[in-house]
Amino acid sequence: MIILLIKKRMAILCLLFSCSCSAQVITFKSLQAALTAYPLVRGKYTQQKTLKMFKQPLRSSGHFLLSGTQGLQWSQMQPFPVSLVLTKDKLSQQFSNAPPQIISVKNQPLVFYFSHLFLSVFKGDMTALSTQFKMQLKGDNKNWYLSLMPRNAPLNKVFKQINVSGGNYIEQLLLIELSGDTTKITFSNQHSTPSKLTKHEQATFKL
Amino acid sequence: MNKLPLNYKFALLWLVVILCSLFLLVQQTLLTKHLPIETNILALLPKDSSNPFAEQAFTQISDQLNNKVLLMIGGTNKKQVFAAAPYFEKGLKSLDMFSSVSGNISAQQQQSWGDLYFPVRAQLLTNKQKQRLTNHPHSQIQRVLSQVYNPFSGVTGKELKKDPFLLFREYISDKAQGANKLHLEQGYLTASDHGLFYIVLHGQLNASPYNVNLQKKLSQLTQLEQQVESKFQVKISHAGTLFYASYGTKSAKNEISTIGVGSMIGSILLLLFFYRSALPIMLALLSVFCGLLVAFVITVLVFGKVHLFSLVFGASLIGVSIDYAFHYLTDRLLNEGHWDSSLALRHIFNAITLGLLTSLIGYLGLLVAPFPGLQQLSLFSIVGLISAYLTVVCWYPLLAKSASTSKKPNLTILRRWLHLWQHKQFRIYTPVILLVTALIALTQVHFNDDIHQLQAMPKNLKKQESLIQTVTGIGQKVQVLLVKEDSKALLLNRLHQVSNDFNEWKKQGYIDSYQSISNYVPTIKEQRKDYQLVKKLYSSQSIDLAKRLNFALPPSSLPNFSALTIEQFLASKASTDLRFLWLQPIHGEYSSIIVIHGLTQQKKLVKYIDHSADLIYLNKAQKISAIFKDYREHISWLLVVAYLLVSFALFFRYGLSLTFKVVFPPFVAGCLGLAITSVFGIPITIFNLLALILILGIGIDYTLFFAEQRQQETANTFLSVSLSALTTILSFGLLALSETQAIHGFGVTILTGITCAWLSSPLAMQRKTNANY
Repeated sequence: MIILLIKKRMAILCLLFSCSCSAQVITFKSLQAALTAYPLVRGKYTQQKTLKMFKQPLRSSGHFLLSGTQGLQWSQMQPFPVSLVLTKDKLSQQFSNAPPQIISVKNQPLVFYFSHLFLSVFKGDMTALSTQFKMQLKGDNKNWYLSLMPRNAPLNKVFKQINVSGGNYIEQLLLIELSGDTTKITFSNQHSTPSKLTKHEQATFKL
Repeated sequence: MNKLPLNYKFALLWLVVILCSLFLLVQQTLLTKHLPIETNILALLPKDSSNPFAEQAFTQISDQLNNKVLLMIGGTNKKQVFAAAPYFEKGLKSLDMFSSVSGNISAQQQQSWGDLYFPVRAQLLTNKQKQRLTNHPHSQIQRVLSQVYNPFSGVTGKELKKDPFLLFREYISDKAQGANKLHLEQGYLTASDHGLFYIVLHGQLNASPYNVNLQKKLSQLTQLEQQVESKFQVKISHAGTLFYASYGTKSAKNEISTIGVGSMIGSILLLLFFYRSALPIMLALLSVFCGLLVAFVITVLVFGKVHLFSLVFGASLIGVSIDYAFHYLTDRLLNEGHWDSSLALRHIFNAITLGLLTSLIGYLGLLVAPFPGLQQLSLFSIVGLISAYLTVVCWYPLLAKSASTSKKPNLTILRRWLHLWQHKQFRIYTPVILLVTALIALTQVHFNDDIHQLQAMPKNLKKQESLIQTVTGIGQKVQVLLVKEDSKALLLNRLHQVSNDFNEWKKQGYIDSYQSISNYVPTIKEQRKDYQLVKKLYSSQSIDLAKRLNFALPPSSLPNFSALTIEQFLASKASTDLRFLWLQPIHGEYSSIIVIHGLTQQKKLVKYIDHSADLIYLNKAQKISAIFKDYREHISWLLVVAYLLVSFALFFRYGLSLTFKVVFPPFVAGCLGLAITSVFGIPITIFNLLALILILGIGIDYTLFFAEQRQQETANTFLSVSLSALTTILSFGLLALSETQAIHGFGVTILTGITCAWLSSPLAMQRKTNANY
């Protein structure tokens, strides 16, 4: 009886010990906290679109800037330069020399539907995502995998699943369509400093 | 010797009439499913006989517009609002009030626009696309590329295969924009405003909002709303004709019962005070009861239904029809022992008959007016008055044979007032001063014929309505334009022309938005033109696009042309909420309506319509207000004619001087009533003129009794005049408490007018007061 009790205590101690020295089990709450920990994240990306109707995957790359409060700047450099700016209620697209095309959520709510979803994934806005997806989270805070299964139309008519993975930052985003076509975005070189927007970046957000 | 049996014969005959009426009343009320009481305000009004086409079109669409109910759930916590929506929707569906409730829009419904348009996508282009494909077809490739690479665009392989130039997504999002501030989230129409989140639900009522049975179920809806509000910590707002209509019915019902009960209690107290005996009260109530009974039954027989409005006015008849009873009963009270019932009737017979006839002159004028509301009102009043009169004449001498044993009331105050009228100066100056005051105040009169004064507009409902409008952009106040042509194709073309003009108006800010079928179905000509543009794009740019995107499989080729017709659109699930815009053919002509929201320049619209015969402005409220104005003027003339007719008739009996004294008090009372109403800032409507007719009819009764009194003391006459004036004031004074502005104004005019007519009626008394004839 006494031995059993001691064994049980040791087991508990072991558990406690193992927890404190390795990475913590990830929860939706801690993931959201981790992804919103930095006010600014800058980095590079490569995107690979694998569609059945293409002979070979469509590749593009560039850099991005995510601001927790302002939105997202997405600058594609290859194969042609184009910059996208997504804020709470506006989306602008600008080719190198041409004037930007700006659309607002008020005028075209449909366009924003998908864009905002993308932004929620990026920002780790679990509350917003939970209304649209069934979510599964695996791993620990150094290495986590989040899979999102769309709950309702129109998303479930298009996507089978969206997989996100990462550690301190998002590292990969994989969109799997019902048809089997995929879009994979890999992020690299992410850093959270400098933590303030430059004047130019600030101006870019003002659409 | 023959007299007595004749009396009995009349009494018996009248008894048969009353019994028949009772029988009919039971049949009309207890033995039918629906009470024959109409509450729809529009039923009071004349049909638009000048334009039967417009009238039919209006009937078709008014159900659609009036049967809609908008419900909005709002709250700070988005999750709670989303949780409340399906619960509320389920509750609404179980209420048995709605033929349909649209809350969560199913995937199939969301898909319906795509199902309708996607097969004919090559025939649909936005204006911008038309320009682009005409001038720079090559730039479309750049657009496709950027969208394919753009991770936010959500372009899928499936889409790219069927629509390689990505034209359709641009078209459909252009169609979806702008109509209001709502957007779809989790299948619900949502909006946010000032930090609050909202979900909007629509309901289509399964009966007219004026249906009293439907209105009864409103309390269940209120209960459901409260339950959802407390369960999910949200706030629910609603808008729709139903809520106004139900409020109108409820307040009218309340008003009828307060006015009816109030004047009844007041009258009984008065009678008790003066007669101090039960018999006179029973008799007075009997005549009132017979009056109302026969009036109700006959009005239902003639019109099929009695409008609540007629009933409200009818309730005040209690105060008028009781007058005949008073004269008889006062005669009985004051003559005490040496009193004979048939003799008493002969004393007052001339006066009450003349009184009835003069009242009828006024009401008959209203009966010929082609205005259902006024016709009902006057029929109700005429029948009610005649019945009350007949009850007095036929039954009273038999029912009250014995003389009164009660003590005479103290008439000191009345005698003093009469004494004042003995002074020559008082007799001349008082009426002159009253008239001059009234005429001066009459310069303040302003007229307002707006029909909205007839509808009670509770603040709480207005607040909810304006909140819904700010949040959703959907206003309840719309203007409706009817467009008609000989064929469907012509009609669609014409709708497109009007839409082009309205697009311009929208830019100029003359209107907020508009709904027209033409925005959803392009003309065949346009579809062909667009198809040619798209065909050119495919043939000239396909190779280049395939090269840039490195296509392994060729995208689907251009679909064949197959015109999108108005029939297809109307049959599609997508048009469920828009179908009402397209009307059933009327006399072989096709017509469709355009619903305009937020019109700021009404004159511009009226002018626009005046230029074309195929456009009709379906503005019922404005039309009715114009009719009100016509009838207000019509009744003004009628009033003048009635005064002249009455004066002319009286001239033969009384001669010039006495006729003047009989007619002058009600005249000055009418002027004063109107003047004081204006001084209170109440605009004058047709109803105030109706009040003037009543003042003439009732006021002249008072003076007639003074003119006719020969054997009696003037104080006796003044007592019965005072009693009837007080009961009239009691009943109409309560009308002044009405929430509906028009009835309120009517009450004020009557109240002041009757008071003046009563107090100045001694002008008509014979100078030698105690002369023995």
